Amino acid sequence: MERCSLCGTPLRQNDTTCSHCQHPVIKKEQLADPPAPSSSRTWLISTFLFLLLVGGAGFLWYSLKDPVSPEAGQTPSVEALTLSEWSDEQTAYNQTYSKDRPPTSYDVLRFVRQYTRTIPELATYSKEYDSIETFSAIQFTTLNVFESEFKHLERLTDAVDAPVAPSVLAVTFQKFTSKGATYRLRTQETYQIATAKGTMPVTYRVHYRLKVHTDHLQIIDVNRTEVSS
Amino acid sequence: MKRILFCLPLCLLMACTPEASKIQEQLEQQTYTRAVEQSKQDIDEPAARLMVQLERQLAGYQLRDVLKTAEAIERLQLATDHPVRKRAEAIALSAKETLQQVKQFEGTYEVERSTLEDEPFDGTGRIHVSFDEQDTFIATLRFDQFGLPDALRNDEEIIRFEPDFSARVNLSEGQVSYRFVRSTLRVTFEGPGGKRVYQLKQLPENE
Repeated sequence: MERCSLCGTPLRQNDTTCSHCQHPVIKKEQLADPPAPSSSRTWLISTFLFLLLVGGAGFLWYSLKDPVSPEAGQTPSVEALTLSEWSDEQTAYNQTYSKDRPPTSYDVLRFVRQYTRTIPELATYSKEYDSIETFSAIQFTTLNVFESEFKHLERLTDAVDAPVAPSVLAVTFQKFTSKGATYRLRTQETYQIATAKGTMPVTYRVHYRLKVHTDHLQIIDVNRTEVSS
Repeated sequence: MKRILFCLPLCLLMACTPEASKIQEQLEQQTYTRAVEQSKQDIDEPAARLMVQLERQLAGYQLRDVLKTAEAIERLQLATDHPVRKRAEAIALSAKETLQQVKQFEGTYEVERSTLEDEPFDGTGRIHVSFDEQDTFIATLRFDQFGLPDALRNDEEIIRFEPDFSARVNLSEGQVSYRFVRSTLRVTFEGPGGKRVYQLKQLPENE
């Protein structure tokens, strides 16, 4: 039964005003069809969502399972690397890393390649005239590595007084692994030294151990052996 | 009950989606040695291992070997959008382009113009250039009656170039730099005597 919206007095079917307060009766519009119970609507939406998501999951599973994408045969356009991505245009020593952004494999290799370029300069270190602190300030190796390198670069250090300074000729990277946060790398490095008869190559087999120290790569151990000259 | 019904499809979707493995994450981050370290039984282990090899060769500028390893990676039948496949393809493209340049730069160059502090002088001779098969940027330069008429050079020098095809060689006093540009080779001596530039032009193959 309807009641007056102002005073609550029960109304008869055809009343246009309230018999008690004379408040006009506003007839509510009758819906042609009664609304579906709310529980049925929930079921309908749930079923639709369920089917949609099951279908989506199935499609996702299929596309991930199949090694060849649906666009098989259409090779996605891949562009050549820019020169700076693989050459020494970028200085590896300036790069900083974190746990979330570890160095890529190529970052480590490039770091060592650039380190080999500093070897001829390292060989010029003079215990008599240079300060070890100057070199220890360079953070790409530990002080122990620096001292070890200096000791094992005898052939190069002997040649630094030649008219032409030693230079790096070729570096090959032979074995590269990692264990936890430490990288191990084996290289073969050939340097050119000037002699009275002309230039002569000196080759070393080197084992490096590196890790990210604070936020940059650092060589923490080197084992250098001269193999030929 | 309603909440459970709403959550059910989401749970099902999560269960069907394979969790991105640690290996895949490392392959995407290009930390290939770490991927190898952790992928002994993983399907991506060969891909990670070959990528380490590919990057070693790229770092050593052994571009012919890079192409061989890139082909081996292609034979693994990885998905077209697999990060290893994409990286290997990009590296192979770079290597191919560079090797084409190397092929173009090989040959004999003859002095076309020579200047000393921008004033022409009587430079002469030829340089025969060939690049190493293994180490792509190591070139052998054979000097043939090259230089000043009263001090001609007839010897050979092995020079390591950078990937941009330039090189610097220290002298007892000063330095000499080499740069290939299209079909020319520019040799610049800088020392106490000033800056001496030889501009050499590549000769056609039959000469």
